[in-house]
Order: sequence, then structure tokens, then C-alpha cells
Amino acid sequence: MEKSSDRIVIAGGGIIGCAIAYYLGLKGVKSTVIERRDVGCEASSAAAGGLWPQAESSRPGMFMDLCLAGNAMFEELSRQLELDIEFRPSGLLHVVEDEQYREEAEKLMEWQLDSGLKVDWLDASETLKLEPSLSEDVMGSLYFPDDNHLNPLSLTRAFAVGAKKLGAEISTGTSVTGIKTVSGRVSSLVTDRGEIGADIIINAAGCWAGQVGAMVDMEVPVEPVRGQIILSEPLPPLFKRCIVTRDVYIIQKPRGNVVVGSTREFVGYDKSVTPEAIHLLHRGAVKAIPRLKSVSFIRAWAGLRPYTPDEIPIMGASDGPEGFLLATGHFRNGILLSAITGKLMSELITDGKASIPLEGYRLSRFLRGAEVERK
Amino acid sequence: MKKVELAVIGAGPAGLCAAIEGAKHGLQVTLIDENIRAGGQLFKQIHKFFGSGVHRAGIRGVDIGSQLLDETEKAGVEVMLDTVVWGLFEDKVLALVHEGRSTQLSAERIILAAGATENALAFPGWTLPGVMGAGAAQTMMNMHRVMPGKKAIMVGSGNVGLIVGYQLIQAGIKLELLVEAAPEIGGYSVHASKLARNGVKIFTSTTIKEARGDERVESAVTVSVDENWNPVPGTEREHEVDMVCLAVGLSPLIELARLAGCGFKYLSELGGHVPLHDEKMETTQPGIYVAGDIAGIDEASTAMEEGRIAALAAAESLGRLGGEEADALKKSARKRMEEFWDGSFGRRVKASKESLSVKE
Ligand SMILES: Cc1cc2nc3c(=O)[nH]c(=O)nc-3n(C[C@H](O)[C@H](O)[C@H](O)COP(=O)(O)OP(=O)(O)OC[C@H]3O[C@@H](n4cnc5c(N)ncnc54)[C@H](O)[C@@H]3O)c2cc1C
Ligand SMILES: Cc1cc2nc3c(=O)[nH]c(=O)nc-3n(C[C@H](O)[C@H](O)[C@H](O)COP(=O)(O)OP(=O)(O)OC[C@H]3O[C@@H](n4cnc5c(N)ncnc54)[C@H](O)[C@@H]3O)c2cc1C
Repeated sequence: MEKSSDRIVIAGGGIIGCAIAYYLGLKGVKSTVIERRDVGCEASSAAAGGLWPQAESSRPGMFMDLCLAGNAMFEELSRQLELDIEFRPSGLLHVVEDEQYREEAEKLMEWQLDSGLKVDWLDASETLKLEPSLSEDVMGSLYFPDDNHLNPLSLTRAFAVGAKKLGAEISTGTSVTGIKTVSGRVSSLVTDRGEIGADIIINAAGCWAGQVGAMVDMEVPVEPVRGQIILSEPLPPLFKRCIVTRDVYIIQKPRGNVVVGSTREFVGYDKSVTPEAIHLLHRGAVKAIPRLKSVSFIRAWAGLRPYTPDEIPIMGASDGPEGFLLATGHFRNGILLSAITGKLMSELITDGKASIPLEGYRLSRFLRGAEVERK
Repeated sequence: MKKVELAVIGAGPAGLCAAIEGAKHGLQVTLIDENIRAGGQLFKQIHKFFGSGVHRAGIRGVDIGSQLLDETEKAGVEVMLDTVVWGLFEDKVLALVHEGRSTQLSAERIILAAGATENALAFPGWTLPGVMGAGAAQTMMNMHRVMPGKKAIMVGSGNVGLIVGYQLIQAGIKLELLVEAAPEIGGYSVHASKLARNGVKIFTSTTIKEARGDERVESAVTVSVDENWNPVPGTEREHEVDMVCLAVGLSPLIELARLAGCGFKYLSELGGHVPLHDEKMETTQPGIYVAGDIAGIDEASTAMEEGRIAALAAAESLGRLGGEEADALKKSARKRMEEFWDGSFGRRVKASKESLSVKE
């Protein structure tokens, strides 16, 4: 697909755009990233950094396999990247507090074991032995040894720095304002600071992918879903694994700060935090780990996840102008899926084919009449 | 959720006067401060205030504080102490925390009078115990009766450096010297001559280079600077002190104004980023006002007038005060402020303040 002379321009410098530029660079292909404000300034810096293909999946299938493949890349990636991405092979405990939830957990465990994945049921005493700071009210937990965490902003920056080293150009403070086509092919990208010739344009604009799609009369059904997070002061080590309850997830970061997330709110592009959500998150955290009651929470923030109607990303070629590709809609999993998305998109661009088929991620699945697979 | 007509955040001179004025005109007022005692900076100020008679000049700051507290009580203001405002959300909802419990308060009008925060200076050794802000030294000496050291060096010759320098001496600390990076002393000469009379060496065009010591400050190294404020090699001098006091300026405490989404302007003469506001002290967010050091670092006298003006505007906007009466009262407050600003330093402040005006 790609000719060596092709000019590749990526719209959006979040983790997805930067990862694509990085993996293109590894293949010796240069690209230009156009970012409206700053690298990773939106969803990618708001995220918690959970890499949870197992705890967050509800059923086996194509998407779960993609998440697992993505997760498997971080161990090596953390050695390969120049910046410290604070990757921690921590494991995750999905805490169960009541009987009904326990049934759900058992079902989850059953199909994951059938799929050959590592997951274990721990009773209350085993759970508390592993994480003594958890509330003694736990009934038990599901233990996912392969669900980990890292620092999402560091990873985004590491992709950006790595991409630049490999020849990519990253223009920050530059907004994409239009796209020009010539006889059904993209020809250039228009920005508020000039026009750039382009043979391939990748729409990696996260929640703003709809606006970029509209520049080629394409409807991209991505919508923002707000998520709020609170962060504690740095604390001595309290727990090691990621903790997930019915209400919240909790991660202690390497510097000791505890992150508690999150909410799912359809409120447009509003990134405000609300006192209700802060209380909810705080209460959920204290319920799971009572010692968090007496610590100070020093920050609260919100970010916008790029949601799609089936909660699965949109990746690959489009039915729009030739040369216009998409890599967006990663919703709750954009950090987890960053490396695999970068890798597959770079393969698609340079080899014409990705090593994991991207057909199931095409935009055309949302076209009128197409059968939408609901999660 | 509890509802009030006017919430005033910060019980320094600005907040106290705002609360009194608001209550006088019939508003239901809640005044909130994070300290266990109201008064803000005033209670640290054991010196007689400068300024004009109408501003209670010649009275010690701490006494002005006590007088204002009395008036606050008489006016029927609800005072919440030991209460931090940690959030300001949509529709003027304040998040408060008191004794570890978080509550919310909804207000029809808000006056932000959070004051200022001391600037720090980074140099090798600046994290050693014994290096502290002048305000911190004042709090220790004048409020908690603790000697912060035995032999000190003061960095900065603005009024804060000069006054706190003198208070160190009053507390029984030996003030070895005062350094100022600019070629001239910044504060009023009355204060500087007091120090000189007490045998304090004042070095201008000089700054601190380093604080030395193992566990805490044992000495400080100063160095001369040229006209571009670059250190002149070879002019280093070591002084045996156990305390380095930094009086290198204050910055408006603007977090809450930021949370409220107020517009800002950077004005170095006023201490940094300052919320834009109009003659009525209203910010770019309708119904949210600023008063005192948050609206630009100045003096207690002007802080009090700004507090009054903001409260008058709030009362007027809630229909408690006829336009004419409000105008007359605001005018006279502004006039007193202008008179205060008549000095050469004041004129600079006034000019900066004028450039902040957003409306009209
Ligand atoms: C609270 C929260 C917690 C999360 N936790 C996790 C987690 O634990 N694990 C996980 O895997 N994922 C998590 N996510 C999801 C993850 O953050 C996102 O899926 C991911 O960051 C999406 O990356 P992106 O690059 O597509 O979008 P973004 O990071 O939003 O990047 C899009 C970029 O495009 C730019 N842009 C938009 N329009 C234009 C234009 N016209 N011109 C130029 N540039 C433009 C924007 O400025 C932005 O920088 C979380 C998200 C939130 C909000
Ligand atoms: C050494 C020194 C000498 C001075 N001498 C004079 C003088 O002689 N004459 C003169 O006129 N002026 C003088 N001043 C200046 C004067 O003290 C200040 O300008 C004045 O105190 C500012 O008043 P304010 O009400 O804006 O702020 P402050 O007095 O600083 O009060 C603000 C209050 O708000 C509280 N607060 C802040 N944030 C929150 C929050 N989120 N929640 C709850 N509470 C909060 C603070 O703790 C504080 O109590 C001097 C200042 C110093 C430092």
C-alpha cells in the first residue's frame, strides 16, 4: 500500500497517534503528527494506566484477543522505550463483596479458564493474606496475575520521543482544520498554520474523530464519555496489586500516590469534575481499603474517552477517500491497546495487511443496515 | 445542601470587611477561613500599620484584626473556622472540609479573599531546616511564640523583609545582615533605618548563593550580582547563621479563582497571575468577586476597601441596596483607596490595577 515516497500525516497526538508514528518509525517510515495542543493532553493523560484485558472483559472473542495481544507487548516495550513508563507487572484483584456479585465472578472465571487464561478464586483469608490493607468485609476475590499497570502519560511521551528519534515530526499547537482530496484521494491536510501535502491521513483524533471525519464528509460515530479520577498524596506502600471493586478501581503508583477511578458520564465535551463523583470515588475507595479514610486526596481530574456504540475501536481503511484511515474509538482501553494499534496500523500502511485482521474494526459496521454487535 | 446568600472565603482584612459590609446591608453571610482564628495576615502584624488615619494607621495589625472580629460578630456573620474550601463547582457550590468531614455549601454570591502565598527561592541547600519564608518566621514568633533561630540572614528588602527583619530582632534573634539583589532598598525607608539603627548590615546588589550545613543551616554564602543580576565570581562571602529568611515576594492565591473559570492577567507588579476584575471587584464569572491580595498584592488598607466594595456590589446585585446608595458607598471606598495609593509605590499598583479592568 505505502510507497516509500508517501507522505503520512497523523491527525491527533494522543497515545494512539504517537504509537502509530513510533511503530511506523520502527519500520523505517517517517510520518508527521499534527496535534492541536500538546502531546497526550487529552484522554491519554487523564487515564489511570490500567492494563486489564481480563478483568475488564465480559466475554471471549475478537476484541478480547486483541486486548490480550496488546497487553503481551508491554514487558518488552518497557525495555525498548527510552523513557521510564513505570510499567509494573502487579496483577489485579477483583474484590467480591456480596453473593450476587460472586456468581458473576464465577461465570467470568469459568469462561476465562476455558480460554486458557490465568485466573484464580481466592477466599477471604487468601485475599487478605495477599493484600492485608483490604477491608475485612471481602468475601473473596478473583486474582488476575497478568493484569498490570503503567503511567499513561509517560508511555505517550515515550512513544512521541521514540517516534521523533526515528524521524517522525510532531507539530504541537497546530489544529487540523480541513482535508483536501483530488479525484477521490487525499492530497493534503489543512491546518491553522499551513497546508501539508499528504498521501495517507490517519484520523487519530480521539473524541474529536467525528470532527476530523466530517472534513471528508464521513460520519464517525465517536462520542466523548467523561471519566473522573481522584489522586491521593504519596503514601507508603499500602497494596501492590490493582484493586477493582463493583464501584471503583484503585492503583498505587510507584511514587506512592493512590489513584481512584472512575465514572462514565455522557455530558458532551465538559471536562469539569463534580463533587458528587469525588465523594463517590472516595467512598468506594475507603470501603475497599479503610486506611484511605485518613489520607489527603490532592487532585481530581476528568478526561474524555472516545466511545463508540459497540465499545470497540474503529481501525483501518475507511470507505471514504483513498488514503484516509482511522484509528480511534478506543474508549476505556486506549492505553492497553496503544502498542498493538500502533503495530497493526503500521503494518497495514507499509505491508497493506495487518498481522491481526482489522476487518472487524472497520467503520462500515456502523453504516445503516449493518448489524451492530453490542457488547 | 446548605444555602447562603453570600459566602466569603478567607477571613483576612479583605474577607472580614466584606462580611461585615454584606451583613450590614441585610445579606445572610458565611465567612470561611482555614485557620483556627480569623484575621489572616493581621494577627502576625505586631507592628503599627502605615497608611492613612481612616485606615487605622498607627494601630498594630493584630489590634485591627481584633476590632474587625468584634464587628463581624455584632453584624451577625456566621464564621466557620478551621474550614478549608477545597473546591468550587458549577452553580457556585463550595466544597468545605472541617475536622476531616467534607460538606457542600451553595452560595448566591461569592467573594474570594484568599490572600497570597509566599514565593520561594531555590539555591543549593534551600531545603535545609532553617531556611524559611518570612511569613513562616512571623507565624512562629508572633503567633506561636517560638524562636525560629538564633542568628539570621534576611533575603529581600521589601517592606516584608524589613518589617519581619525588625521583628526578628524584637524576638531576640541576631539579624546578621539583609541582602537585596536590586541596587536599591525596596521598602519604606522608615523601616530600613530602624534596621540600620540596630546595627544590621544591608547589602544591596547582593543575593544568597547557598545555604550550608549537614542537618540544618550552619552558614549562608552570599554573592554580589551585576546589573543583570548575574553573580560576580570571587565576591562570595560566608556568614555563620542558623536561619535564612526569604522575603522575596508574594503571589496571589488564585486556585479557587481558577477553578471558577475566571479570566486572568499576568502583572509582575501585582505578584503574578491576577484574576481580571472590574470596578465592583467582580471577576469574569458573574457573581464571583475578588478582594485583597488575591486581586493583586497590596496592603491591608486597600484589602479592606476592596472587601467593602465587593460586598456592596453583591448586596446591590441581590436587590438589598438602591443603585444610588450603592454607588455613593462604593465611590467613597474607592476614594479612600485612591488616597492611599497616592504614594509613589501606590501609583504603580494603581496603574496595574487599572489595566485589569474587564468591563466598562
Ligand atoms: C478517566 C479515564 C481513565 C482511563 N483509564 C484507562 C485505563 O486504565 N486503561 C486504558 O487502557 N485506558 C484508559 N482510559 C482510556 C484511554 O485514556 C483512551 O482510550 C486513550 O487515551 C485514547 O487515546 P487517543 O489518542 O485516541 O485520544 P486522546 O488522547 O484524546 O488524543 C486525541 C488527540 O487529538 C487531538 N486533536 C483533536 N482534534 C484535533 C484537531 N482538529 N487537530 C489536531 N489535533 C486534534 C487532541 O488534542 C488530543 O490530544 C481512560 C480514560 C479516562 C478518561
Ligand atoms: C510582614 C508584613 C507586613 C505588612 N505590613 C502592612 C502594613 O503595615 N500596612 C498594611 O496596610 N498592610 C501590611 N501588610 C499587608 C497586609 O497584611 C496584606 O495585604 C493583607 O493581609 C491582605 O489581606 P487579605 O485579606 O487579602 O489576605 P490575608 O490576610 O492573607 O487573609 C487570607 C485568609 O484566607 C485564608 N484562606 C486562603 N485560602 C483559603 C481556603 N481555600 N479556605 C479557607 N481559607 C483560606 C488564609 O488562611 C487567610 O487567613 C503586611 C504584610 C506582611 C506580610
